[in-house]
Amino acid sequence: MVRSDYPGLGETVLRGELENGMRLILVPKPGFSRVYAFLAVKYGGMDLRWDKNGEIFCAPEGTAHFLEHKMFETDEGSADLLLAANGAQSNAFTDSDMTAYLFECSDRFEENLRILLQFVAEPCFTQESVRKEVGIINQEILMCEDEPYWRVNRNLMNSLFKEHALRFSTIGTRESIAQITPEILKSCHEAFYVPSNMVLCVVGDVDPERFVSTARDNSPGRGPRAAAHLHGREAGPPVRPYIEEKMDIARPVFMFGCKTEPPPTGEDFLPRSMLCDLACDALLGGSSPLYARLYTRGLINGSFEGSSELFEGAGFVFARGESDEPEKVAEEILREAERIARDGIDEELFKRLKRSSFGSRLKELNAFEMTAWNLCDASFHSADYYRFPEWYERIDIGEASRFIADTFTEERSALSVIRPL
Amino acid sequence: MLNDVTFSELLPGVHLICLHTDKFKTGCLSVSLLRHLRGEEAAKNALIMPVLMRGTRRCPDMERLSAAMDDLYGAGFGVLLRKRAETQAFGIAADFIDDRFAPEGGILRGCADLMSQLLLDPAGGPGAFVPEYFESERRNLLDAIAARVNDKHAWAVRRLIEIMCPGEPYAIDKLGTAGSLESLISGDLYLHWRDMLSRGQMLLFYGGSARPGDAAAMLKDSLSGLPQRTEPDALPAIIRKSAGETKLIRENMDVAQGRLCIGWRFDPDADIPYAAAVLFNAVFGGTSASKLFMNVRERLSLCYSVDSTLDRRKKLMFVTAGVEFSDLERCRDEVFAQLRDCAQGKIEPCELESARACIVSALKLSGDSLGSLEDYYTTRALYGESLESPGSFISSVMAVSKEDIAALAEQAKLDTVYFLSGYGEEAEKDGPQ
Repeated sequence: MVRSDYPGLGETVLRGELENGMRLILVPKPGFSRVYAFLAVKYGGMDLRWDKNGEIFCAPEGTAHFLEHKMFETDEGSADLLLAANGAQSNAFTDSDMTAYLFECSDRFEENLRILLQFVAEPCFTQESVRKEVGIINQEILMCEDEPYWRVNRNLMNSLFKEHALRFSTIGTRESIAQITPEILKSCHEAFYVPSNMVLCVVGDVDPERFVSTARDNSPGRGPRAAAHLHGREAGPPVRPYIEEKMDIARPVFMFGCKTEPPPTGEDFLPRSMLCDLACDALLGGSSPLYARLYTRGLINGSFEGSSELFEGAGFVFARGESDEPEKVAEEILREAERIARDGIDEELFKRLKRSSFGSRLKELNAFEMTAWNLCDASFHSADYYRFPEWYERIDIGEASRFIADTFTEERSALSVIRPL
Repeated sequence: MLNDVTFSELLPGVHLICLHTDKFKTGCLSVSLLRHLRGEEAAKNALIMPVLMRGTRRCPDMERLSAAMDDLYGAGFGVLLRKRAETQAFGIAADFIDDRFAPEGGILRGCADLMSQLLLDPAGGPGAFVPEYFESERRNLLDAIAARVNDKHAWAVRRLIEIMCPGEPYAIDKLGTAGSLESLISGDLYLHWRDMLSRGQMLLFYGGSARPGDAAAMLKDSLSGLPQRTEPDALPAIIRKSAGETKLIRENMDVAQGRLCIGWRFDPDADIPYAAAVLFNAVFGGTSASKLFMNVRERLSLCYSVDSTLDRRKKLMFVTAGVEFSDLERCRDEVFAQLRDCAQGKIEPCELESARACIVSALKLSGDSLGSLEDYYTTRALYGESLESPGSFISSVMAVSKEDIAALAEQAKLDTVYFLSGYGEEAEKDGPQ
């Protein structure tokens, strides 16, 4: 393990790589009882097409999430129970571009890590158990369908993207998950759950050598290379500028989005992503003149927020919240972006935002979950997340203004609204 | 590593819990006003802080206020609004980077100052709030009350509590009711705010690396603008009742998924020890290794989410689940069957030990999050309970037996079953099953 110290953040990180290609990250936390382990696979809801040795494979919408549910099944019973017996709380989630398995515990860390690595390495499901899982995931889908923010987001993605896999739902649909078979799940596991496509991050007060040896002894030998993701690449205009649906809610919920240019890959990805977030803060954040104006006029309330989301091959910025006049809010956002295109971002505001964003990231370091997620995500982009202070230093106000001017335009935008019945 | 808790009275009815720790990169400061939940007052209490958070005399609008927080390295100030059994706690909570990470220091002092300005020195004063701040926050709160329908799960739980506890303060939502806001005028809220400052019980929390004596002096100083304090109103005892005749209520809404909520009451006169309560809840439905999770979800595939919650202070228990409309009854019957098994002591050793391990782990881990510690200590303080650390309960959790759990499960008497279904389902309101 190679040690890096970050005195400005009060952090130390140890990094290494196993012979099989799995990357290891340890963030020592002396004095904390809590140990948090996070195993990330670079495979998520948008990975529905891939190239393996020149052959193209496809899977139904929702497969990565379905696989995540099923991986908890082991020969000795549910991995949840095995971990719970040691007092470890386990969980997992599937994002658009990542699946992660995690646990937190205060005791028996190595035993828990062994269980985690083993169940993620070896699929154990059967026809019958896959069929049963459909019932559980159907209920998860129905639960999401009752959430207005989930629906407004799905509708926006479908309206912004035509080619890129962001248009698909990570959880799938009732129809798509009905097509999932053990064979499909196994082929996805084979394609992506290979050590070189995984990062294991542990945050806590554990012995580094024993961490490495437990990881080495319980992860598979060198596997094949992971399959190549084929998500598509998409800029261009949205599919449709407006979409509306009705639900049993009290007040309209909206999400306004604009497609960005596809972001750079490799180590430039995260600095770019921070620039986009800071630009969104300058335009839409709580300290921005636009926010104050919209709030004072009663067009938005405290639920309003905006940010950017970048992925391989595509990205978008968004603003969402509750409003009786979503069209008006969208119009005001575009008008303010035009003003910034003309006058630039206010220098004082930008300086303050840099300081405040830096403080927010520093605060996040208290949260083991965010620390692990950020470090793994950065590792997939060949970057060191803890270099964020220098990335902030380098962010140029002119570039942020240009990003706003180029991105927040009517031609790139779509508005998704859920109205009360 | 430091980890000391002290409790002191700064002024009559104003207490400070101080957690001295250098474990975190951040500090946490909160101030809560404590009031007995009352239907006619709850919405006013819920409205005070959002109005105050719009601006102070020195930072009279949102932009200047946000700028002040940005200057404190993104210190986050938020409205704090909690319901704890029959007490409403409302105030402000702030988290900020610890002074040792800010080159010029002074963050805690800056945050204490800003908190004091927000609490005591609003824009527009003295004598009145800025009329448009009052009006827009009144509208926002009315919207928030109406928007509760957006979260179907929380809606169903609230309906269960309303049906189960009519006339009890417990049934009052922390946001209050729309009715009491309709005719509220700014001047009334202003007087209410001044009244709360002079006779509301006030609880402060500071967690961070500053020395407790220094923090107490700094906070006392920042409260020097408080009006003359009078004897604070006491918080009455929590109402506890026995389960009466079982109520079965079915309601309809335009939902994709059905929601099942079941409520039980425990014997109001029997003591519910903390350790037995948390362990029983963990065995029954509080964890992903619980009977409900393993049977209702994993064995029968009836739902994705199913949980139990036990409020040992109010002596109630709830189960909630999201299920297919056609499976509501089947799900209910399985929940009953699992509770029956608990009451009959049909608890496998591995079920008990997994639950115990989860609780012990959770108690150890809660010391690792400043936010959880703030909630934990302020909640205990408002109930007048001792400020032992979460870890001090581990030995009593280790001592709970299967028989203790069975005895507690046996005590749970069914009170209400609530179904939320889609339209097209049979709507009925009937009595006992």
